[in-house]
This record gives sequence, C-alpha cells and structure tokens, in this order.
Amino acid sequence: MARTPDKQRIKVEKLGGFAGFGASAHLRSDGEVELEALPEADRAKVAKLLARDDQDHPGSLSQFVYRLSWTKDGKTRTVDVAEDDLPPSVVAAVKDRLD
Amino acid sequence: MTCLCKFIPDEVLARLANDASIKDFDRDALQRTLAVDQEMRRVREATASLIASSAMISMSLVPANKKPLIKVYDCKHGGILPGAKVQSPQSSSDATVKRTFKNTTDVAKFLKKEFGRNSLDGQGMDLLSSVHYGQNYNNAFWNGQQMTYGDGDNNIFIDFTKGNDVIAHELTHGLTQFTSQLAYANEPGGLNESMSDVFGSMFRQWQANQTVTAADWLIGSTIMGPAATAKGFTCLRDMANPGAKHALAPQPSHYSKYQAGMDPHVSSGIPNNAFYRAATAIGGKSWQKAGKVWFQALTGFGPAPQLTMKQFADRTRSVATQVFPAQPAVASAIDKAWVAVGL
Repeated sequence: MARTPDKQRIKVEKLGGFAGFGASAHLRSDGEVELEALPEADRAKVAKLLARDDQDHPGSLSQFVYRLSWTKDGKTRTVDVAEDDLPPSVVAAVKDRLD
Repeated sequence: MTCLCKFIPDEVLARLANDASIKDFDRDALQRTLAVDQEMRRVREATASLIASSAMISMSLVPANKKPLIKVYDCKHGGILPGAKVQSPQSSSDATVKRTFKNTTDVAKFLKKEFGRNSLDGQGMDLLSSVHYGQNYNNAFWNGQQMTYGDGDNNIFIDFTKGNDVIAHELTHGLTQFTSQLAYANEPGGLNESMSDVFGSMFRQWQANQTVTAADWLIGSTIMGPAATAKGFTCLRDMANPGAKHALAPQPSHYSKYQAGMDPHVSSGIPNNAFYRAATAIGGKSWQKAGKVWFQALTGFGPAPQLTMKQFADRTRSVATQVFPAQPAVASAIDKAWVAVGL
C-alpha cells in the first residue's frame, strides 16, 4: 500500500456525469487542495482514499467520479473516487469550465 | 447493478491509524473515520441486498395493476437526499417541480403504453425525483433508487429538468438496473449510457409525436447555458453525427475507435449512431419498430452485466426477425446500421 502523503497538494479532477466531463468533452472541472489545510475529519477521510491500492472504476450512473492525483518522491499516483465518498471541502475545490 | 467500489480492509486501516511513523495524522480522526465507514458499508451492503431481493418479493406482494406514484422532493440547494417532500407537485408554483412531475409521469406512460412496462421494475414501483440539488450543480443522476437534478450553474448549463430527454435518460438507467443490469465500464458501460440516450431521445420524439425525419436526434439541447451556446455548442451529444463540432461532448461513431477503459459517455456514440441509422432507415416513428426491438434486446434476456456491443447488436438482429417476422426490412435495416458502425 502506498504511504499516505503528509503535506501534499492534491490535484482534483471531476469526470463523467450526465454531460461527460473530461474525456473528449469540451468540459473540464478541476482544482487543487492542500491536505493539511482541510478540516481534520476531511483530511483523515482523504488520506484513507489516497491509501487505496485498487484502481477499479467506482461505477456510477451519471454520477461524477473524482480523480485525485498527487506526487510523492517524484512519482505521481492517481485514485478515482465516487462523488459520495468525498468530503464537501474537496468537492468544492473544482470549478466547471468550457475548454 | 454491481457496485465496484472497493476499500482497503478495515484491519489495514486500523493498523494505519496506529502507525507511529505517520506523524501528522490525527489517529482519533482516523479511528472515527473507520467506524463511520464501517457503518456506511453495512448500509450500502444492506441496500444492495434489499434492491436485489425486492424484485422477487414484490412479485407476490404488489398487485399486478399497481400504478407508480410520482413523488418529487426539494433539496433546496443542499446535498442531502431525498430532501423535503413536495405536496401536490402537479400543481406546484415551482416550475422545476411541476416539470419534473409532468415529464416523469409521461415517461411512466411511455413505458406502459409503448412497451407494456409497468414502471422501471415492471411492478409499478414509485418514481422518486429530487430537484434543486446542490449549488450550481451541473448534473442529473440516478443513484440506484431515485433521480436527482441540479439547477445548473446558469453559465454552461441551465436547470437539468428542462431536458425531457435528460429525465428519460436518468429513468432509463433505472430500467437497465432492473433488467439487463449492464455494468458501467468498458463495452457494457457504453451500452448502458447508450440505452439511456436512445430512450431519452425516443421519449422526446414521443412527446412531440415526431417522425424520425422530424426529430433532431440531439441529447441535452434544451439545457445548454449561455456560455456553451456562445461558443456554438447546441447540444451535449448528437446521435446522428456523434463527432459533430456543435456537440459539447463529441463521440466516436465507429467501433474501430473503441478502446478498453473508454468513458461510457464517449463509447456510447457507437451504439447511439447504430440506433439512429436503424430508426431512420425503417422510417415512421422511432418507438414503433426500432424502439421495440431495442427494448426487447435490453429487457428480455435477463441480467447480462458484461454484455458486449457485438452481443447486443446480435440480439437486436435476432429480436427483429422474431418481433417483425412479416417485415424483413426491419431486420435488414438494423443489420445494416450495425455493420455501418463496425458491428
């Protein structure tokens, strides 16, 4: 299992939904959060999500999927998380835009 | 529908919570998270089990002629489902509530009248919708039990209930869940999304009593916001021309472009285009022939979560000859449509 990062900036990207954010769509939604800046309970929840070692698609029906990416020791890792599993402080970090 | 969510084992999380080398963690918070997540997992497992068994139980408990009740809830821009129940939604002064009630009622009528289906589960299940979900929420979704609609950010999108195809799209996810149970990744994921677009578009045509030539075959054209419109986007997806520049989310239209792991909203362009080709070649109204074949192929074979696009295409070929034995042109049009998209 990956070691959970301490003071880390985490890139957050929102994907899918009815409109199909990301992929080939002209729709993007992304942002960043600093793990240390999150409320205590949210930080623990995110840390647990980052420690996941599976990469299964968190299957959903038009619900958003959030891709969390972070770099540690020069290596970038990503994990996909269902919308319901993320704390609101992370969900609020992304901004929808056209590209 | 099988939930593919996986979490690290509890014992690993507990070990992490007690790992002295992880200095900056509040271990109490981790312990609390562990407890909460264990409870949430129990709830999810119980819910999944209930959904799976409810169809069988309801066979004996629900009267055969039960009509679905249409219920609308108001989240009042919060994120808690289902929100506050709206009394008499059919006469609400809130246009979003009223519209949701009307279109959901019509989708239930559409399924019953044109396909003989009594609501999503075939047993007259009630249809729950929550509106005004979240803040500037650019989405609508089916969560396995109900529909949820955001108001949009009024920039890229407007109120998602303004799309009758959006409402039928989300309800069709429920129909798929109770029938073929297509997974939501790879080829069955693309099929799952396509079924929702196909029945979404058909419903829109049905409400307008349109022929296949009068229909525009666009998905999401009535929820586009001013910023999207200003950039020339007229819809989310175009079933007739999935790669069109006016589509906010262009898609491939030929199976040669399919790649494993492709987002279902992208790969759905292939079967979407096959349906468009079949329906327009047959002519008339889409729900009368092509739609009946697609409906039977989706609902008439039991659960098949890993169904491939080729397998679904072959089902429609076979169903067409059975449902319209005296009209070989139907099966021929469907065959040609699939061949044209590489299947």
